[in-house]
Amino acid sequence: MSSVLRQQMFDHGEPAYAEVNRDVIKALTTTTWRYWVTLGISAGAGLLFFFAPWIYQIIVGVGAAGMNRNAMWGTYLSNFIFWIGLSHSGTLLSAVLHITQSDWRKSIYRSAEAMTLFSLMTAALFVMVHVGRVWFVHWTFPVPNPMELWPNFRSPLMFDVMAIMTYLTASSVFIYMGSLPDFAAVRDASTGLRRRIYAILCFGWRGTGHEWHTLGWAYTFFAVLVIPLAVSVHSIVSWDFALSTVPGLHQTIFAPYFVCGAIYSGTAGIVTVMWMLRRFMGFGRYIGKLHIDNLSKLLLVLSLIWTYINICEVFTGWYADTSFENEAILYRIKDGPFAWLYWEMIFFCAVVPLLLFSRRIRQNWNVMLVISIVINIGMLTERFVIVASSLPRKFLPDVFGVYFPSLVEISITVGSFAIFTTLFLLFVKIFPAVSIYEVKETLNPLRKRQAPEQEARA
Amino acid sequence: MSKITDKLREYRVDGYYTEFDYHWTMTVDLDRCTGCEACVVACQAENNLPIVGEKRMRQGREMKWIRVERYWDGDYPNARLNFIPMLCQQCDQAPCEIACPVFATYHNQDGLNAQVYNRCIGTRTCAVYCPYEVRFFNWFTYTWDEPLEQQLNPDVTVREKGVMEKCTFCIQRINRAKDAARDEDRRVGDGEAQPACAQACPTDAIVFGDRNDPDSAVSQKMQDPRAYEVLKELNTAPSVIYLKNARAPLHAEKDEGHHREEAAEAHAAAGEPRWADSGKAAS
Amino acid sequence: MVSRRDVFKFAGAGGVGVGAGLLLGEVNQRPLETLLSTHIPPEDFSPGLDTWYNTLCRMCPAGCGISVKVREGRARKIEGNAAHPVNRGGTCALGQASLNALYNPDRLRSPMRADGEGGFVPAPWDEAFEELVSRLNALEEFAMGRQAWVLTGGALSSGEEALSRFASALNARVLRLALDTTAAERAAAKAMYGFEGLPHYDIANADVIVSFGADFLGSWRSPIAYAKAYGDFRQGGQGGRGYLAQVEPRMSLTGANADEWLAAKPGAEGALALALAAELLRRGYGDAATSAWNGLSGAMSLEEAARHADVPAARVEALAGRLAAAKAPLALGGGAAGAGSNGTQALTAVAALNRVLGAAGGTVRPNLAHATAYSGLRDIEDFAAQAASGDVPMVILAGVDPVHDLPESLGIRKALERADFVVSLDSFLNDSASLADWVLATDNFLETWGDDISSPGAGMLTATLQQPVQKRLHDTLSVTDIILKLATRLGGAAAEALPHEDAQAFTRSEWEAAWESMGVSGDFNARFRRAQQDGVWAAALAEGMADELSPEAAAPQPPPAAEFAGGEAEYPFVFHPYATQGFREGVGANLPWMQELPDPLTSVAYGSWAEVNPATARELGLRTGDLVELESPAGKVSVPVVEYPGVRPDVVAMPLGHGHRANGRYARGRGANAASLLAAQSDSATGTLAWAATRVALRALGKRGRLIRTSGVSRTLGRQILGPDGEH
Repeated sequence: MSSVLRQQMFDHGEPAYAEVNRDVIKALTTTTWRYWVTLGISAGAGLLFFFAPWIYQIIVGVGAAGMNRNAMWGTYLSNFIFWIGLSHSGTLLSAVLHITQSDWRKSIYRSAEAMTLFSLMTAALFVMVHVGRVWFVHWTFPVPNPMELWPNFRSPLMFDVMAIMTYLTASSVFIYMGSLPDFAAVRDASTGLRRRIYAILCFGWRGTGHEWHTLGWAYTFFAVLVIPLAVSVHSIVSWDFALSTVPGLHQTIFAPYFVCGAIYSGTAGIVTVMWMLRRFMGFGRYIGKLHIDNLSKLLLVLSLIWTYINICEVFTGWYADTSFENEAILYRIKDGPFAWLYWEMIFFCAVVPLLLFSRRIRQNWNVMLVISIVINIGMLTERFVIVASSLPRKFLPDVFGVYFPSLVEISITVGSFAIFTTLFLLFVKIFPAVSIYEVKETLNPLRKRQAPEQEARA
Repeated sequence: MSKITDKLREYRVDGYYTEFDYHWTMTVDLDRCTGCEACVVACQAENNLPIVGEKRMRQGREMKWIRVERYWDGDYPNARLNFIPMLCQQCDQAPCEIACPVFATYHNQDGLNAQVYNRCIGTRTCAVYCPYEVRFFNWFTYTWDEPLEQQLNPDVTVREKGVMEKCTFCIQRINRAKDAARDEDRRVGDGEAQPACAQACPTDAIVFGDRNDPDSAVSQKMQDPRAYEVLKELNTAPSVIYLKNARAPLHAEKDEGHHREEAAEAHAAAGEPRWADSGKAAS
Repeated sequence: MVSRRDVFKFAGAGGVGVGAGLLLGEVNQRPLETLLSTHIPPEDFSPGLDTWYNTLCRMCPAGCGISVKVREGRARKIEGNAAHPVNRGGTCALGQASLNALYNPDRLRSPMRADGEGGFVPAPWDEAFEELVSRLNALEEFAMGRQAWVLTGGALSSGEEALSRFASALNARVLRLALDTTAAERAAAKAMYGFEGLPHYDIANADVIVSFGADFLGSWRSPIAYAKAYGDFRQGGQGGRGYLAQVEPRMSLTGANADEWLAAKPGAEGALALALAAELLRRGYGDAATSAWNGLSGAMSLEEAARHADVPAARVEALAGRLAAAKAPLALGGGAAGAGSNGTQALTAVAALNRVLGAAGGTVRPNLAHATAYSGLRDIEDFAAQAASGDVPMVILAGVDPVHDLPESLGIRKALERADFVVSLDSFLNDSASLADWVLATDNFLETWGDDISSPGAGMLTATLQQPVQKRLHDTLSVTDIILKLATRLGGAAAEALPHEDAQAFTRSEWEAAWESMGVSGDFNARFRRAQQDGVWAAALAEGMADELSPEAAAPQPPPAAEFAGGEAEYPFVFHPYATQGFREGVGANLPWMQELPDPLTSVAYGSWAEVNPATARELGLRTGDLVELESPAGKVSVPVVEYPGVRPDVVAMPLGHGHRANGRYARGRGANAASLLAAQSDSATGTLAWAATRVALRALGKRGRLIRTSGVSRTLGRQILGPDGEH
């Protein structure tokens, strides 16, 4: 890695090896009252806004939500897709960048992967919130049973269950494996109970050459495995929609559309999380200009692809020239009650990111925070608009209706962010949020005992 | 290996059955249908459909396994209203059947699109996939004001919250007729099994029977040149065949922009919830 | 071939013979609700097996035969009695929903006594009878010429017969009340066909029908019988596919199914019918009677009549051409067309058209049933006046709710408030019953005995037997039971006239007497049991028994211009109330299945609405769902509007039967009562209520109303839902 790049990676100058250990482990061990307050608020909000209404909904029935005869799916499903989408960048980006040996990934990938994990978990929660009889949700798993009743493998929802479980497993293993040396580092730096816990967590990592070699091999293997998974997961999620006959959902472009949108929103999510880590966890030193600039460029490219696909979608609807498709598109972008949301989404996700052509904006963390949040609001709306503008108006005009989310749904949507935040707050106190050993790999080789630049890349 | 491929091939047959024991089919003669909705109430009575109440109706959560849709043609004074009863089409290539992750809905040996309430976990995917929108979800556990529950049909279950339900072609009546026929070692005769809607229909617009029997009334009706399937373009192979209303078309000259106008008119009301009610509505 | 319906019948036959007997022994006992009741089950009770009883539907006056599925001692489902000549197995939505009345949570479970503070308290039957008997005895002694009044409906049944005998024994006056009194149609039939009663119309075998306001598929006369016939008229009938033209200011269910809808101006239907008759006379049609009519010189020309009725002359001419070419034409008149100030003349004109077309004696035949003479406005006004002067000592309401069903302007509410003592015999605490001093809880029709002379068609006499299909749910008695018990306790003339023990005994004795008078021989018990099994007894009429139309008929007079209550300047819209199949004049309002059933034409559920033409709505700045106030000279209501393309721009239509002030949780406070807007206009010829002769003003209230519609967009948007384009 060139020194110029290195300079951009670390805002306040390159840290020493020991400093890396100290900084990262300090974030684990020293906890201010602010952290506890934040954790308390966020966990409380999760309970109040997510679990309380959910329990109410379980008691009275899904009718507590605003869905009706026409719109059998609502915000629960659109949020599910949003959270799956948000999960997309972490692991995928980490894996892609690992394989392409982009060193700048090393200080951000751990948190990004954590984001993947937690948004997947939040998404899985939404599946349970969505279904009518959550107490039977295990029937979606192929659990052997005396009735020989199996799940329906033709069902896109079944694909979903499989894809998400696989992705969740692979992502968990991926992040855990990458954290092993760091757990060991924490173990070495601590005493008492913490030491014993991390001793178990790190599987007795000793740092021998053989261990490093095996880790490197296994890590690369998982990186290769995770990439197609990430693409397949959101393709499969898109098939929940595309395999239906519903005008506005039944579209061949949906798989790339969803994958692109997912990575887009996930990348924006990473930017947001990075800003938080810099601001609140003191990782400003490790997450620098290079990261934000690269992420922003990625965002820009994704935004352009996303815009293109949106144009395709509308074009296809118009070109189909059937009442079904035409009405669905018109209702979505012009006549429906959520047309303004469609244009909001276009503005947020297609117009605003054009600012990223400017390097000054790309490298301004605060502006990027705003843009990243705006993009994710747009993406949240995108999923909502797709569901809420298609389902109430399918084929038979006599049953056309409208759908508005109820208070319970809105509350649960808000609560899901609290859940995600809570999980993330817990994560930063358990996992070293920045990869210690990999950051060290990028440090100035002159400070190492014997490490030419080529070896650092290897 | 060949065993496995055979098995796979078998698996791929649409609906798993290449041939149905009975192929229950319904024809609805729109020329006879007057839109009186006797079928709707007959169905409600037979199948223990809940009384959802005014509030739930306003929320768009009515439960009517069969409904009468209405479509206007033209404008005053040359206006005309058309009716079409809409119920589960018991599609042989049903979009809903692929949707269910737990096989709560499947195709049975009689060509019926069966719904297993016990197995349903309420993902509602089937209803989203259904182009005819004839699947109904139990948003709540509905109750009956005592003693209305004494009317409930003991042959039909009462569904709980979180379960999808829909028209069954009155499978309890079909099974009863099949049982009776089996006892006498014969096939079910034409007209022995009648769903509640067909039995109530005062104009005999609804005819029900076995398509596998070429002499059945329903097979005869299907030969009518007026026969058509709703949303045929979706290739769902429905088991409900409509006979087109034979009224002369209202407008001999239908101008090009007509549909657009209709659509614009339709959209004019789009921003409005269909239950035109605001919180501050006067009672 | 054995149809399922036949199977039902046989199954029912098996059950009835024994089952009915068992039930009868128990009808007068308190309902038994213990676990033991199925421990030693009655003979007709096999868990898991249906028992079918044939009986009579009493939800509307049509008198359809029904088969009731009874399981575990409870009525579960209503089916049409396939062997019944009226409905031939068909049922309507209201009939299906009659179970809601039986099991209604708001049904009265015992007699109720007014507590003097607007409420009611349950009371035992004995107390009720004692009070009534003492009141009636006092009436006999101290009435000083003041008469009691009995307010009832108009069924041709033994129940009504018992009531009539009771009333005459008490020297009480009887008011037979209905909004649609059939008086105009009977007068027209008398004038043009020369017989008393209502004609039978052979819709099935007609090839061209022109209907002036008669919603025979919706609520007019015997909708299921006509719907059965209509099915054949459309498909599979003798003359190929029939052609139906509907002439009415607001498209009814029949209008929606018609091949052609002519939005004639209210009150102009008669002139149009007469003009058609004159035109056809000119073309050489007519029978012996019409030759003396001088070509109906007083009638308008087709063009004039079309202009008068505000319909395109070309279409009227085309219609005349169709009628002229028809093999079996038929003209129907009814509904609002016969309920204007010129209603009788209008329907007479329609009947004249039938004569000209040669339909009289062909597609129009006489029949005996349903010729109840309802009370005219004079009688009702007399009642109101006597009550106002304090001369009504007692009112017996026998299962009618005139306070809701009839116009407020007739003053029945005030009369009931002023009467000394009011007793209502009803299943519900409805608008009228809630003004009573006593409400005697009556049986549902599925719990008791009775009968009805139905109207099956020409040349046939049909009596439908009503029998209990299950034990009483509550501590109730039928109207007939109450009358009989009262008569017994009163003694004297009443006990002499009505010596029977209960409704069953009375019904049996009526049937025995009727059969005897008709010379029907054979074992009565066997025959009656047979009638119980079949649910109906039908016989062909003997030769010459009123099956002939009079060959003579005087030329009809041109209908005078229709008069409306309210000036056109002040009240710019003609008010068009109409009955729907589900609600009729109010009977369906307390049935939750009916409330929840979307209106066939507008898809509105739970509540009422006013229909305005979309152009009118645009002009007034109204959208569907906006609340408006309708004001007539007689009253005002506020109701949400529905833009309805099937109503004339100068007409506002509104369904009857909604807007109850009481009548249980499902009915109370839902919608507005259209009848409350009606002025006390009368049909100039018969003096009965002209319920379609009121004008209203419409004022936007600037807020949204409560309106639930199940239809989203009622246009096909070019989608081929109703069949592929271009093939017919």
